[in-house]
Amino acid sequence: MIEPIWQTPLQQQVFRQLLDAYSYPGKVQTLADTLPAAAYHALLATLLDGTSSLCDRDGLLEATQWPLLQAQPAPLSTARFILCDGAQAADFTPLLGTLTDPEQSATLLLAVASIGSGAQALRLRGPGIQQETTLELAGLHPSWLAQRADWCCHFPLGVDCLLTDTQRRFVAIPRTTQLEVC
Amino acid sequence: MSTATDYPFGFLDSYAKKEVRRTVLKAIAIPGYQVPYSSREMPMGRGFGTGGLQLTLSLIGEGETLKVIDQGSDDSVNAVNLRHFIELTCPSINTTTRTQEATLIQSRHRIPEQPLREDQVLVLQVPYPDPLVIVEPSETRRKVMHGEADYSRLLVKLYEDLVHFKEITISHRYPTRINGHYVIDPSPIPRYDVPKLHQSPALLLFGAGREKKVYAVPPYTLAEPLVFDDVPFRTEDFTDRVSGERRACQRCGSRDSFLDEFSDPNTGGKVYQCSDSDYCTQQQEQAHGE
Amino acid sequence: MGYVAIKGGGKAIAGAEALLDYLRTEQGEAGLPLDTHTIETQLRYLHSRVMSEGGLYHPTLAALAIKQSLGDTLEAAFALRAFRSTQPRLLESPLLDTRNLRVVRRISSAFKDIPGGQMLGATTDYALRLLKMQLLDESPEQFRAIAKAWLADTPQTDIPDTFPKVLDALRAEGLLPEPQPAAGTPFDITREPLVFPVPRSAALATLARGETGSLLAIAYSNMRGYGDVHPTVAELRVGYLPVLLPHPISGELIEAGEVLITECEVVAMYGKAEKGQKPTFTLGYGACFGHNEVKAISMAILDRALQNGQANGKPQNPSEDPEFVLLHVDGIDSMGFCTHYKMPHYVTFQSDMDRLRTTQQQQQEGKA
Repeated sequence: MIEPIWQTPLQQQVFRQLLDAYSYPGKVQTLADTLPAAAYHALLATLLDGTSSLCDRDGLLEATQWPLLQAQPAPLSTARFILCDGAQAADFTPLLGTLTDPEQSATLLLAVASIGSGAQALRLRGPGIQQETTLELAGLHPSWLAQRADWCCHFPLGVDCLLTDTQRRFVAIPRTTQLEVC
Repeated sequence: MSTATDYPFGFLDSYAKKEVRRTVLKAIAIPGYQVPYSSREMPMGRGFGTGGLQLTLSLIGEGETLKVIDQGSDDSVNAVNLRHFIELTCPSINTTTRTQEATLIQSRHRIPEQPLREDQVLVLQVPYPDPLVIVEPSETRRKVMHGEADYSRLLVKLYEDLVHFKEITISHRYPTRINGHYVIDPSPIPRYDVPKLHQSPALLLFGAGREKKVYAVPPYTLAEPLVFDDVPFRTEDFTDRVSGERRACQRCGSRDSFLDEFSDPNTGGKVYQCSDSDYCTQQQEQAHGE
Repeated sequence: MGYVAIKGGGKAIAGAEALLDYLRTEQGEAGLPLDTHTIETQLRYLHSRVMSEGGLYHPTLAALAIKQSLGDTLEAAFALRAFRSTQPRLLESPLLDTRNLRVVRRISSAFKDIPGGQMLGATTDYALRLLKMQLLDESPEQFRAIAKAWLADTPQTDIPDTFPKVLDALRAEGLLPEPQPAAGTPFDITREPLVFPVPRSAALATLARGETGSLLAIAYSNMRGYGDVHPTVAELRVGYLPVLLPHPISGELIEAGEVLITECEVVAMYGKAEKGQKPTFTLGYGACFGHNEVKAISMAILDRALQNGQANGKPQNPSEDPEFVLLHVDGIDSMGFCTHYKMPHYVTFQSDMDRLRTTQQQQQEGKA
């Protein structure tokens, strides 16, 4: 049997959760319990194919997963998808897109310890959010927030972030979301 | 290969769906920006909703409840055709005509009267995605104008309208600014539907198949029709100029819906009916229930 | 009065479809269904055109598409294209060298004598377009006799399978620039949208599956004076091109089959040379599936025109403008959009009337 992560009906469900996550930034999603606990696996399997480029900065993927994902390996500066251990500092500049082609920018997947609860709390405002919402999490290196603010300060340029944890949870923070530490 | 049922779930191959899905997420992240995508050929004509259809087929899953409308009606030829195709290629979905029962709605030219909710997604079919095309034929130059949020030439066009006609003559496809940056063509919805884009609880997706673009108005997002401070945006006026009263649907009696105009074959006079057939039916059901 | 809106759509569609199928079979008992092989062989130019515009080399399905669309080229190409959307892209071929073309026809209008010689092949170019009234009631016996006689009368010759290219001779003389190695992987228009400016490979791919009449019309505008390509057909060839694909496991290139193509290379007058370079002729390239010479020549002219437009920095006429040419030659796109105007536009027209009435009223009030 094909592993659940590669089954197209499950990928469709994961995509709908991604759609919901992007539509309502800060809304925590929980993946089906047949999927791997580290949520980024299912997200990558749903989003990538042979035309996508991926950089696994911190070596979170095993070598055997690459051929299945089909993605092309790329450096941090040109990858359209970047997977990082969120506990490690942000020490690079990803693709931010251009004024005419802002979609040619990176999507960051940051693996953190916990989403939906934790010692860190963020206040979110922007499209998809009525007034404001708060997001609790744990295990995100504070440098990401400062860097992201820089990367996203010239709309439409920017990066879109997906935070994932090891309990099948994830949340989206697109470039339009204004973040504040509370 | 003789019937549509021999095709995979959702017709498109899985790579095509992945591409559309990645495109949709970018579209939500950059509200109002027209994200290019490769746009596969569908078995119905370009212009018949192939962009909307590719979105629907990439979004839809088992157990989904789908509603398809055209001109507000579930039973118009094109809506029936699209629904039939989706039912054939997605055997495990449900369809409905009732707006509140649908999880996914594909529409051409209308936004349903009944307010949409957070758990619903509306897909609109788009023939012309770029509002700047009336002032600039080159897409390369239009992309620069969009990037810089430079809509001065569009505003000049609106102003010239006012000078010539004392009225902005854009009837449908009214240019609307999303989240303070990109101006979109909201598809050929009437001006009456434009305010529904503003702070919508539901995600609104726009698919232009022939022009190979996808764009989005995310939920709870600013959507402002392009106007001048001293000339308010006006929706279609259904006031009877003789009586001064707002015209009512002759079928359900509603005085707050978008109306289709007909000639009464018997009297030769004009009669009006709700454009949204489901809304009209539900209004009647309520009236009977009371 | 009942609810007037377009009710009963489903029934109407089913009825219209049934009627169309009746039209296809209305010969009734006297009729025989067209078999796809007959379409492939007896309507070969139509068949070629559908494969090329459909962008899928599948002779059987192309014939089926012609059969079910009652011979409408746009509809048939469309059905083939839609089928294509259900097929994943599994392998990419390397660049195929058309020197390996198994040639059935090749001509050059540039030289009387070309290396390997002219090979006229099958063509109507010099035929008198007089109706052959005898074909009105051609019997199966007469039909079969023609092929039989032709095969019996044709002497065995040792025509080579492949021919040297005319362009190579021009290059050897320094009259043409050396070919530029293709930059990067070719642009796949089925997987990437055209965002301008696009590389030449994207333009060529778009033209290759463009609608024949559309290519011809824009190329013709260039020929007539809205442009200045003034082409000479250096070589036009029709033949079967071996398709090489990497073996899915070993990666070794294997011949997977061959496709019938038409290829045209036009040479145009030279332009200003770059500093320190000697002037040379310039080149336009066209190629498409099947046997379709008008399309291949039109495409070569348009390729040349588009390159001119790019070199000049600004298009001087429509055929030199990439957005104008490439966004308007696709038959599936253009016929689809043309057809869509038959769909209801009640809501937008209601909205139009509202604007007109309001504007009329404004003017009335202005006068009063």
